[in-house]
This record gives sequence, C-alpha cells and structure tokens, in this order.
Amino acid sequence: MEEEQTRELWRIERLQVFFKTRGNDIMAVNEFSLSIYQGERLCLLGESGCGKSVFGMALLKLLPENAEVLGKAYYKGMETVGMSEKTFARLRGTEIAVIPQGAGSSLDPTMRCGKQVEECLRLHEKENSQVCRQKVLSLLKRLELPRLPGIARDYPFELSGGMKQRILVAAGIVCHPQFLLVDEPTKGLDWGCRDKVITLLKKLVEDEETSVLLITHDFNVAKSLADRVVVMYAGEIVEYGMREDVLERPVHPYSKGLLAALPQNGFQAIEGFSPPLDQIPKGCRFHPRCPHATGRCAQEHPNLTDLGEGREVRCFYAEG
Amino acid sequence: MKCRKFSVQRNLLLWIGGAILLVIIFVLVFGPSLCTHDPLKVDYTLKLRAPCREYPFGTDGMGRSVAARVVYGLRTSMKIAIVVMLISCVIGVCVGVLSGYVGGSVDLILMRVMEVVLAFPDTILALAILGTLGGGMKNQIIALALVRWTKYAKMARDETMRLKKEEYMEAAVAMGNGRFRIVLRYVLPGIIGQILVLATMSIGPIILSGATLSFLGLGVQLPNPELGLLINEGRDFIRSAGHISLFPGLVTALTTLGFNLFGEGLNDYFDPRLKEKAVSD
Amino acid sequence: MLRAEHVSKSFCVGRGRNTKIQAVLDVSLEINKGEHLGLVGESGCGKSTLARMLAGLIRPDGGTVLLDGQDIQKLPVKARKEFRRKVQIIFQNPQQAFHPRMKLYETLAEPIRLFHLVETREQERLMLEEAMERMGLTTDIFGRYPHEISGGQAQRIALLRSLMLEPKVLIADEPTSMLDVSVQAQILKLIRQTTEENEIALLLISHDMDVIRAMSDKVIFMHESALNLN
Repeated sequence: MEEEQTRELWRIERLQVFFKTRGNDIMAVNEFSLSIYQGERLCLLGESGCGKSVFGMALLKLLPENAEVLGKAYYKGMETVGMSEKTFARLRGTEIAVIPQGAGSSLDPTMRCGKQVEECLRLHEKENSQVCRQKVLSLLKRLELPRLPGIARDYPFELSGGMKQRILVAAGIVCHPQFLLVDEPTKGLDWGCRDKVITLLKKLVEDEETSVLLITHDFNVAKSLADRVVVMYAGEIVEYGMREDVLERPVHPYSKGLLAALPQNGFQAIEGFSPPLDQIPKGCRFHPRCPHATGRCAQEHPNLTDLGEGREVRCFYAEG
Repeated sequence: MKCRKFSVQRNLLLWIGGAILLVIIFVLVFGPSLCTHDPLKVDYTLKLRAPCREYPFGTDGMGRSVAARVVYGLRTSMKIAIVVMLISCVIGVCVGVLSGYVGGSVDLILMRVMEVVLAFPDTILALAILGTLGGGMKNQIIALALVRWTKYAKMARDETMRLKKEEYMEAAVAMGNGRFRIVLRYVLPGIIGQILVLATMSIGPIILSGATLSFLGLGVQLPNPELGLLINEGRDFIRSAGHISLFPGLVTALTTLGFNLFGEGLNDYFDPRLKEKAVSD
Repeated sequence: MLRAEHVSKSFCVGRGRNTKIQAVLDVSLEINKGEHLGLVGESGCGKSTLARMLAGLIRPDGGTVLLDGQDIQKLPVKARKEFRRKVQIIFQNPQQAFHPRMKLYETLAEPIRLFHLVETREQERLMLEEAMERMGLTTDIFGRYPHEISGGQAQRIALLRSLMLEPKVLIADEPTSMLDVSVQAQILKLIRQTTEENEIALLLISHDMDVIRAMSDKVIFMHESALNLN
C-alpha cells in the first residue's frame, strides 16, 4: 500500500463540474476526490446521465466552453485544472490518451483506418512513414483484426462496430501512453464483440503497463478489466473499493440494486429513475429510490465513510 | 443531461440580413405614400437632374423621379420574386418529395426530367421560354418558375431520402400511418427548415434573373418600373447621368444581399452541426 | 397466429451494390397467442431483418408471412391498417423511433388519432394520462421533445404507444441493448407484465442469452441467416 502511494499518477481533489445554461448552473460532478495509481485499472461505473463521462472529459480538459471546473487535479504532481490548454495539449498527446465513446462516429469517415492510427503516431514521433506503417500494422495484428494488411486501407464504413472499436483502441494506444481514458468501449456492441474488445484491451494495457480509467455502465466489463471500482450516482461517488469487494459484496444500496438488476441475478429493478442533474433531491441523492431510506436520509447529505482496506461508502447505514 | 441552446444572439448574419429585410419591407409597404412624385409622370423640363433634396435619386431622361421609380420598381421586382418563389417551391417540393419518397421508376423519370431542365443555363432557358411565350410579367413569372423548381426538387428529394432512412419513419409506418399522412406529418416538418433557407436564399437570384430578363426587354414592359428595366433605361445616360442606373443597381444589390445574409443566418440556425452539441452522460 | 413460412431476404451492399448478402434464408417460425418467444443470435445474423419482415415493414424475397392465415403482403388497404394495429414493433433505439421535432404528447396521440380510438381531445388526454401512470411515467414529459428524455423513459413511451393499439403480437427488437442494466430490468419487467396481462404474444429479439432466458417460454437460436429450433 505504502509503495503504491508513491506511484500515484493522478490525485484528484474535490473536483466539481458545472454547466452554465440559460436558467441556472447545473452541477454535473460534485466533490470528486480520487487517486489513480500507476499501472492500475480503475473503473468508473454508473448509469448514463450520472456524470461519469463528464468527469472523464473534465480530467482531460475536453469539456465544451460552457462548463466550469473547480477543485484540483494533479497529474504526476502537476496541477492540471488551472493549466493552460497549450501545455496540457502536449501532455494529452504523448502521455495521456483517450479512446472516445461511439465507435461509429469517432472515426473520420473519409480517411482510411490505418491512416487514422498512423496519424496519431506521426503527430508525436518523428519517424518516417515506413516505420510508422510497420508499427501500426503490428499493433493491428496484436488486436487480432482480420484481413491484414488490407484492412488498414479500408474506410470506416466498411468495418463492423467491433472492428471500428478496435481501430479506436489502436489509435489510443499507439503512442504508448501512461494514462488511458476509455469511455464506454462496449456501447452499442453485441455480446461476442464486447468480450473480444475487452479481452484485447486488457491484454494490451497489461503488456504496456498503462494506467486505465475505464468509464462504463456494464458490470461485466468492469468485472473483467478493473482492479478497483468506483460507483457513481447522480454526480457523486457512492462507493469505491477493490473490484471483488464492490462487485461481489456491495454495501451501498445503489450498488446492491445495480447488481440485482443483472439478468443473471433475476432482474430486481430499482424503482424509479435516476434524477436529472438539475433536479437533485435533498439529503442523500439516492434516498427517493432507496428501500432502506429513513428520515435522516431525506434531510442530511451523507459523507463518504471509510470502511478500511481502501473502501469508502456514502451511506449512513453502511456498517449495518 | 442535455442542453439545447440556440445562439441567435451570436448569429450576426441573421441580424444584419434581418435588418436589411426590415428596411426593404418598410419601403415596400410605406414607400408609395412616402413618394411625393408619380413614377409615371413625364416632365421634360425636369429631365436628368442630379440627386438633390427634391429628388433624392435624381430624375431620369423623361424627368421622372428615380426614387419613386425605384420604390415602385422594387415592388414589382419583389412581387415577381415572391410569386416565382412560391410557385417553384410548391412544384419543386412536390416533385422532390414524391421522387424521394416513392423512389423506383417514378424517381427515375422525374429525375431525368429535372436533369434536362438543369442541363441548360438558367437564363438561357428562361429566355427560350419567354421567346416562345412572348414577353410580359405573367410570362416572365412562368419562365422563371419553370427554371427554378429544380433547385427545390433536388433538395427536397435528397432530404426526403435521408429522412426515409431514419428509424422513426419505419416506426411511423409500423404505427399504421398511410403514405400521405407520413409525408404530411413526418417528411414535410423534417425538411421545412431547409426549404425555408433555400426559399430565402433564392429571392436574391430570382430578382437578379428577373432584372436580367427585363433588362433584355423580355419581362415587364415599359413604362412600368422594374429594377432591371430601370437599369436598362439609364444605359443611354450612363456617362452623363450615371445615377439613373446606379440607384436601381444599388437597390438590387442590397436586396439580394439582405436575402442572402438572412438565408445564411437561417441556415446556421437550422444546421444541427452548428448547434451547440448536447452534453450527455 | 403470426407465422413466417420459408421467408428469405437478401440485400445488395458494398461499392456499386455488387455484393449480395443473404440476411435471412428460408426461415419458418410461428408465434401463438400469449406466447413469449425469444430469438437469440449474434448481431448481423439477420434478426432485425426477420423482425421487420414479420412486422410487414420489408417485403420478403421469398416465402410468406401470415397473420391468422392471411398473407400480409396481399392485404387490401383497410385490412393492412388493421394488421398494423394487430402487430406492433418496438425498436432498439427508442430515441430514434420518435419524430425529433414532434412533442411527446403529439407522438403519443398518433395512434389514438390514427385509429380514432376516442371522440374528443379531452378523452384523448385522459386516456394518455391514464396510460402514462400505468407505465410509471409522469405527465410533465408530454411537452418535451424526444431528445430531452432518458433512454429508459423513451423506451417506455415507445412501449406505451404500441400497447395503446391493443396489439395481438408485439415484436421487440433488442429493446434494451442501448440501456443501462438497471433500466433494462425495469423495461423488461414492464414488457413481461403488460404482455401477460393482455395476453399479447411476444417476440423478443436479443443477443443477450440471459435476457432471453429470463423472459421467454420458448427460445429460437438464429445463426448466419438460418434458424436452429430449441
């Protein structure tokens, strides 16, 4: 544990994200404090609309102009929230990479796939095109893409969703980044593809010893890839800890509910909807849907309680 | 979280274009009562006056107030432009939607007809039609509408075909909607924005080609004022009294500019890509 | 009740539309009253094409689809409209199933107006409010546009819109693959509940074996455009 502390890659302190809209400011991410260690694979689990992608984009300074970020985030000791766009852009290209969500729309439809991967490499490494192409091809081979090398000359529309996702993975990882943000890698993919993408991604990041922040709503993805899991609900962390703890013995009622909603666990749905971010309930944000909610939950906003072993939960009744 | 925001405030084109259009509309509505001079009254004692207080745009070769003639000319031109726009829009949209929605051999035939029309340069074709039908305002309108409907048809067809692929079209069919109802309730609302943009943008070119035809003597007949005709009238005095052609020319240019800017602005307004992207997740 | 007999469909794709792919090849299946039939298969195996043929949205190249013994492609106009009422389909992406510029109230009122289910506008509103309550939705979303609601809400509305026509058969084409797990559970539960209550035959299409297992009485596997019966 002690050793890991020293290899902290990101330290995020009370990060908040607001969106300025016509009416009022909407808080998308609230008081997010978290550390990401070197070589670790952290998974951010939550429903769509809970602010998980916003958090990822805030970390990478990729939010639209009407967003405001407060708090501090340190990357290798460097504060990044206040950092100039130019300085950070250099970092983002070389050490930090992102695999965006939406395989369908994240690739340039007019550019050949191999070229798109190559592009990433040539922007940052001054190598001649022959070397680059070789590197790209070997990477695509490791991603088990079929029809090599012909596929590198295909346009995105000629590939299936799973293949496009793998091309995106290749583009993200080709520069050997130290930190990789993966946003919903399996959205819209079907079963077989999903497994394949995840297995390949896992193999790659293990080989490269890349730190990963994986954003997903899919339990199975979290299960097969993550070391640690953070569960998010309505813009804040409700529970985090090691994978086995959170995914197999969840403490927070929301995490429990998510687990019970899986088809293999019998579809025990959580009642109601997760609130839109401009209508966050008072008190505990989960209390209107919580089966164990008491009067205190409706009044007071719980803080994260430390349960030991790197595990924290935002619930008054975490122990019981 | 989703936020949708129209950036009308920042849409400068829309505002500038809108301002010009407002001025034009003002002139069209109140112009005749502001003019103290009859645009048709000939008085040779006043001929070829330079712009002064009494005649802000000067007088022409027959002593008529150029300002009054421009005001009435603009009215005529706009009347032609709007009628042409409406006719060509209706024809074009009908043909385009029919072609795009039904597809198959209907599409094939309609598109070949359209290509024949498109194969000729606009003005040449309009001239040919006018040559056959004879001059005059009515025929001018017919000729221009027959040339211009292709623009709408092309766009309406493309948009309809794009919309047809959308899932909600399929859902609408599955719901039990008939073809006619789908076109009315689903297709038309989807393309109306684009049509509006195109219609606005086409006023300028119509005024110009209308003016061209009149300039060539095939459109509105003398002594009625029309912008192209007015420019033509000044041709004989272009060296000695340039203002006779200058002012109608300026007004033509300004009107065209106004409609084009407004159209561009509308286009930005309707273009989903320029709308601030909805932030989700 | 709804029966497909040896239906096939192929599409021309690729550059110059010269590659022909066989989406569905010689498939026969039958859905009976009140039955919950699950159809599993990888994506791209022709599940959706089969669903659309069953719903009469695309015409099969070969074979016939029959509803109560009548070929649905040969129905006269009136009967075709009635067929649409009896066989409803909900799609994978609920947000794309609604007209983006139509408010949700209008979208929901479509089936009522199309089939003249009620006489007056007041009755229409009442009917919708009642239906919304049954679906666990609040009426404040009436005035919103499809992109302003969540995927789960949209899928509920799609389901509601279909159920208002009191169909005999409901075809659900991957109804939850775009949704989160917790929402998926809600939607599937709702589908199961409403179809059981009204004795609607359900054809549920999914790539997720777990979903199918939890939802259906009978399962069909589809593999590369053909069926394996279970």
